[in-house]
Amino acid sequence: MKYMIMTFGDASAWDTLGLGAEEATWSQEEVAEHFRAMSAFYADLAASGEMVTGFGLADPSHTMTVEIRDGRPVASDGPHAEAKEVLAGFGIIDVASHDRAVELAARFAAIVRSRVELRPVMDDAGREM
Amino acid sequence: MEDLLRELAPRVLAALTRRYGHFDLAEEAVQEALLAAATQWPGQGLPDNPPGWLTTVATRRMTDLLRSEQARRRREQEEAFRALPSDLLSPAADVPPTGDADDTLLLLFLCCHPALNPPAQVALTLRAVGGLTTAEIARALLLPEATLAQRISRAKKRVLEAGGRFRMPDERDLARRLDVVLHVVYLIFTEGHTATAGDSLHRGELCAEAIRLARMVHRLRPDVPEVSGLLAEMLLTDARRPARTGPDGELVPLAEQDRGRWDRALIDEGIALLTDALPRRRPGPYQLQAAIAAVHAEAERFEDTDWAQIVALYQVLDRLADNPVVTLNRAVAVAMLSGPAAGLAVLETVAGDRRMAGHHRPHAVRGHLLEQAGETAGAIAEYRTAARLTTSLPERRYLLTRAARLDTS
Repeated sequence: MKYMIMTFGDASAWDTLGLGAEEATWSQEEVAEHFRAMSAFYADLAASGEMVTGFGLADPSHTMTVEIRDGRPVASDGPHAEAKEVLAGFGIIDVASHDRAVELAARFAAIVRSRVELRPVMDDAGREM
Repeated sequence: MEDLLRELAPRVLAALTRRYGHFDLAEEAVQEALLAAATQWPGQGLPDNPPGWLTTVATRRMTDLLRSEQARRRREQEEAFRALPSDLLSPAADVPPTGDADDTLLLLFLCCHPALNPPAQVALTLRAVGGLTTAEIARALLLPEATLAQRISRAKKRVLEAGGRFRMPDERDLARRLDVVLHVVYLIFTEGHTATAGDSLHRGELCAEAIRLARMVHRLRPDVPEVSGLLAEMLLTDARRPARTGPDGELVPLAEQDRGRWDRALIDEGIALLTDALPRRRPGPYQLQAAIAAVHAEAERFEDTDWAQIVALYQVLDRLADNPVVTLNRAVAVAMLSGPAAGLAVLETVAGDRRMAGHHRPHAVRGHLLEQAGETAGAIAEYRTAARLTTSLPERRYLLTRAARLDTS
């Protein structure tokens, strides 16, 4: 079963690399440790054959909004909201059980020192009823 | 040619594993031999002795792999010296000789080793016994190829670490190990139980693959009724596939399926298997599920369904295994036989079951029963709750459509 793990940060987080407001000023050692732990996490997931994909997202200032107005697509910059919570990155895992998904999410939360969200990915298999 | 290669793959792999041990390396060697055959045979024509050709090429590759493995080991100074494979040709004296057929079964036991989790068992079985390439399996499971390659290589390592041996388990273990094999085959089948067309065509092939594996196991163990039961259940379920989805890939419930589109040949084969298995009086969940599917198959129209028999079969199944999903299905059958109130009463018995907490199925069943009882508002609410809870896209679509239909009528 596939799950998405999502991490969040406020807009200022990208400037300082910290991912939560109170973590916004990481020391040099902490930054180095963060990157080490992150690549170890990805390496473990790849080695166990549970990693589907994962990416960190670019600075929220790159965000564009695309919508349909009067039947035509309209693209505009933003929102540049000073949102507390902006999606910072996501990973998709394929695991044997829900418990395993929670275990991996917990490990990820410890690395990013911030809460993460875990959601099942919809399956295209279905049973007749 | 592809069919021939896939037929031969487990036999060659079994022969190599038996001769040299090193299941992991043997598996790699056979994959490479299959690749060589797939590229060379179309141009050069089939060799006189295809299995012999494959075995020769795979053995050559195996020798290389063993040599480099030995070199690696020497470098690591883990072992001073290991004998070359030619010295290991004869099996140990305590290994009883077994035939080709048993060899394939031994491979299945290795691939479905209890030390592996189900996703690993599925991947390894599809590759080592099914003869599918890593790319094909990855496409079918909607996974990146690298993920699957890693999963397979990790699985092979784990089997070896867990002491997995290429020999028949003892009599007491055999039944348990065979159960795991059947479960893995069934998992492959349900994984392919996709309702959408287009992108997912490759996934649907998993059903065919599961049936092929079940046929293989059935040829090896025709004497085990549950093996026949599993094969029968899958054939009878697969027979409904042409009628199970509408033109846009939407799920069509059993009650509304065009039975003229059911595959009669598969149904006949499934029923014949059951007719042979059931009189042996060793019923099990697969045989019972198959028997229920057979009762549906025998009804010309939905209205003709013998619900009394289906209820009786679900009662046996319910007693056999403590499984709330079975009780839910029984509730539906009871409602068809004795009315929605009786069905709802059965549903009540699993209402507090913690295994069903947060699950969409009790709500979907309650929705159907309330709809049957004419309680439209309650039915709509249950369908919507079920739609929120399911993680299956086609099921969600079905449930929302069902609610919308009631809402506007």
